[in-house]
Amino acid sequence: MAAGEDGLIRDTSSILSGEGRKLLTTLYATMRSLRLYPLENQVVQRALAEVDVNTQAVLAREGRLQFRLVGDFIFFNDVRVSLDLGNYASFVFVRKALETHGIGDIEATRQVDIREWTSFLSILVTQPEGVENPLEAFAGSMERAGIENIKVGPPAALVDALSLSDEAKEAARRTYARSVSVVKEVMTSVRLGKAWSGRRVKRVVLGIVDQVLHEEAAMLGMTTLRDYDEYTFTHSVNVCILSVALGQKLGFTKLQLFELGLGALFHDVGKSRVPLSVLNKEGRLDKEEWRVMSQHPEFGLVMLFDLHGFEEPPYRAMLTAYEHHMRIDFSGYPKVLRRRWMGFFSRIIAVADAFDAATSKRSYQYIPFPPDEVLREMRDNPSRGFDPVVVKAFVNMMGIYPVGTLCILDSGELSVVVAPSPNPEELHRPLVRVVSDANGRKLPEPPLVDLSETHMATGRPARTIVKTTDPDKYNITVSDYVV
Amino acid sequence: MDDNPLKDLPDFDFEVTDEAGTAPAADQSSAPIPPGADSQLLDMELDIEALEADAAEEMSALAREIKEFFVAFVKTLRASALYVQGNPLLHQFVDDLTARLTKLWEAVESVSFTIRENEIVWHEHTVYKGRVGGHENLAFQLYKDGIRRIDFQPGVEEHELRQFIDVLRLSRTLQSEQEDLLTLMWNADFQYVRYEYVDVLGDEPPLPVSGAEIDTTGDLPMLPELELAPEVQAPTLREDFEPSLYFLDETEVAHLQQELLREWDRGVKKDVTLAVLDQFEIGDTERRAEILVILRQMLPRVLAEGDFGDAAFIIGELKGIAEKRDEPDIVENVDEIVGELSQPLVVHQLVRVLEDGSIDPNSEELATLLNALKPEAIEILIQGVATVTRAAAREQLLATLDRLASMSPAMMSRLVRSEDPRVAAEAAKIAARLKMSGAAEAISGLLRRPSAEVRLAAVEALVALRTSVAGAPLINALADEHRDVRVAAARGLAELKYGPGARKLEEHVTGKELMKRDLTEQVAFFEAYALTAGDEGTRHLARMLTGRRYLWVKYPSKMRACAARALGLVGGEEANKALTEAEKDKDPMVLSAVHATRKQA
Repeated sequence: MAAGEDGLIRDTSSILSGEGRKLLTTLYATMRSLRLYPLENQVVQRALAEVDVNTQAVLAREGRLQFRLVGDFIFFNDVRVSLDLGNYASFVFVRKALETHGIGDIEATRQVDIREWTSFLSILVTQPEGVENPLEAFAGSMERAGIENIKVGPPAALVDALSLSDEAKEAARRTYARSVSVVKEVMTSVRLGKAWSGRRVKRVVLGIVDQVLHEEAAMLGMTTLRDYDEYTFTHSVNVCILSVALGQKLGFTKLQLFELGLGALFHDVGKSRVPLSVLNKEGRLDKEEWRVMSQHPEFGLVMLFDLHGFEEPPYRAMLTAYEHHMRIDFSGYPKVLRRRWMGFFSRIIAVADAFDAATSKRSYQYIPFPPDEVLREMRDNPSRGFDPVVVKAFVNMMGIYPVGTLCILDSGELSVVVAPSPNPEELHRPLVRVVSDANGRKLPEPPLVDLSETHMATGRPARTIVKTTDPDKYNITVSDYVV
Repeated sequence: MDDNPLKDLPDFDFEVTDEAGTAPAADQSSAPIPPGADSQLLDMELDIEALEADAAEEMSALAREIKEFFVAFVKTLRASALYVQGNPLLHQFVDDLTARLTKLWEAVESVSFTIRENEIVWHEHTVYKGRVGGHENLAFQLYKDGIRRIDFQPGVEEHELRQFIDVLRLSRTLQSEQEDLLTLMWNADFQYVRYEYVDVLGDEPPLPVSGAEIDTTGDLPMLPELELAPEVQAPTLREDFEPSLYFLDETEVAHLQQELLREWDRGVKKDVTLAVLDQFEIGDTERRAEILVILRQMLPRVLAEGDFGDAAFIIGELKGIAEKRDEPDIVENVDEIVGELSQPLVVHQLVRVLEDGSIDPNSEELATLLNALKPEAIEILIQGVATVTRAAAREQLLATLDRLASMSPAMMSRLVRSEDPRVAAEAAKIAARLKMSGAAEAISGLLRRPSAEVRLAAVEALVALRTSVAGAPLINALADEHRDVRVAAARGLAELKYGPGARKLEEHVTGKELMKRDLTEQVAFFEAYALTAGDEGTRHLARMLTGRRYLWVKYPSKMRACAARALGLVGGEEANKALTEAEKDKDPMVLSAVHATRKQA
């Protein structure tokens, strides 16, 4: 979803994303069957027929059919196909086949028929042997096979493909600003004892879900904004974005993302009942202050019964507010008397909450922890009580060096991570903006660099992260480079 | 000519023919025009206009079609509000709309409408104009929730048209605090209906600072390499990349999918209930007060939804907490909450659910709920007993009523006096069952009620109570206008062997009225007379059996047969003598009765 110049928010592409996923699965099934069986086999013939039917349907409606492969992303007719646990395997298979032949772009015209798909896919499943330019060899094979209505091309430059349009960034900023504003309004109303309505909150969550579905990188970038004065509100929004992004990665439906987002947005609503003197205290809390603070989950549970604008109480949001500090072994808080199951959504929000909190400057935490260290701690220290598989998925989403991490490169340059690597096997080589050269001089136009790029001559990485560091040492605001 | 009059005209891709209608062989658009070609030029100009007119006409035709489609759309929307799903008329509207859309796709690839405050526009053609302030103003309905454009894609008629209409219809019934049209549309996740919207719910807040304001001048306050200087160098964080630390394997993927399914299937209400109960148990006074408010909302809602299991669980847990903690204020709180279950509205819901039979409550759950009820619930439960037909549920209700009634005799007496005949009758039965003799006087009063059912219940209750005050009312009931009441009264007097009733019974037995009644009633009265009058009744009974009614006319056979039965009940020498004499009787009915009586004796 993007906002146009006229401020309109466009809901454009869910159908294309769905079609793309469907077609990807069909191609995968066909390629697998071609590998296993002879061409005349019924299984193969059926699969090919399905490819033909699906592609013709798309061509009839859209007039074109194009797959573009960009690392972790596949674009179908310029719309990103969202991957999830249900189609991850098919993506990996197809991606590998394309990469083997150096293909990054497939385009078919209306005249394509089943014969051409048969030939194309048959060539695709073969291994190129000792060729210098596999793409050229592939194109040659296609020509010999008489394939005229399918064209292939090299992969797009990763950096070019991933740089966010101004439109996307603008949309992310608007959504973020609106979300923080609504959360502030809600929590302030609660503190003042006024009634508060769920309708605006629903719109906020809906907006965040749409943004994450269409421009995840832009929204994740917004979480690097650290507003110390409005920490409580930005934190709720950040946790919402992080949770929804992870949910999207795990293949949640839109409705599930909405419920997760709602729970994440409200997870700390109980803090509206914690006195500001405790909430904003600098330094450690004493026993009594901690006792009050640690009641915010149950405050949240109780308060959400008063939320209007929902046909029935938002039970799932109550549970996530209540459970997000429990820990998976229930050694956290609140205390559990009656046997329960710690919800999956609660475990996701617990991870997102802890990550955002640890990487933020707060009244009692002048120096936030570096994002990569936080992730490592969450992963390696089971006593923290996080679900280890959820943490792993979170790290996979964020990258080893999450967006906003300030890194020192082996070239002596300083850089800010702006996006995880599009290549899932290069999580330790994200996209960065180089802030300064080796002499410490700030660069007037910080370039975007893909750390997985290699030297032409040696094939070795051009740059590598050697260390992460604290932005405050360098008076750098990382969000300036991300947002 | 040097000037080509055509040189400034654009190239049109149309065919120019001569008068014979023959198309030219070569490209004519750039061919020089011969002298005197003004008329040809005029023809060309006219042709241009004709083409434009054709295009305009085509556009108008399409606009007309789209306008007609939209009119049909609005009519279908209106029909969906008037007719229920499945109504053939509604089907017709939808089918017509589908056909129009199918035809439209032959001309256009999609249809896009711009939404204005009171009108809907297609390519500057107004296809809909809503009445300003009108409730059914579709344009305003869309506009006020921020929708500014709607596109229909081919396939909508097959997959989503009805759903879209339902969403529009539903949004008209929403209250302002609930969903709005936009969230309904979002939830519907349409694939073939696309839309654009603006956020109308608030002022646009200031945007976060963008990167355009980065200060890129100057040097950094410290060089990164200083961090890497030997004396301060930390161990490198570049680690051997171990994919298994960062990538999910198949087992983990399957686990996460499983967890998602489990979350989605989770009984969220039940888990919230557990949390609420935990907080009630461990919370301080203030927390418990808050939880009580929540439970007060929760319990009736749970019952109204027929979740007897959950309601029973909550009550069971609360009682357990009260027992465990044994603190006066907690006990009082629990008592209060559980007591509220007995409010008429709540009990009414419970009975309604049992009546409907839509929920089949597990007996244990129902028992838990019913055990929690207080005497205040009796009246509604009594009303329910009359209407609940399922045996198991009825049995439980009756058991509950007995329990509650025994706790509150005074209330039972009050209920016996209820104006509601069902309540009065049932209260009388319960009082009788529980031997509440204190209610006898009130029950006696029921014999004056217009309802025969009530009077019958009263008679049966009085008999069951066996109190001294029961006799007189029973005697009066012998003359009741309803046969069943009379029979019950007679049988009652017989059961009680109420001597004072003999005289009245004698009047009936020897009178004319009884002769007109059915045999069952006659038997009841004669037996009652026999058991109340005893030996003193023998004379009349013997005379009826063997004597004359008047002159030479005997009593009717049925009466004589009844007399025989009655004499059998009385027994004694006189009775036997009469029965022996009757053995010579020629009347078969009498003979049969005499022999039966002998046999029984």
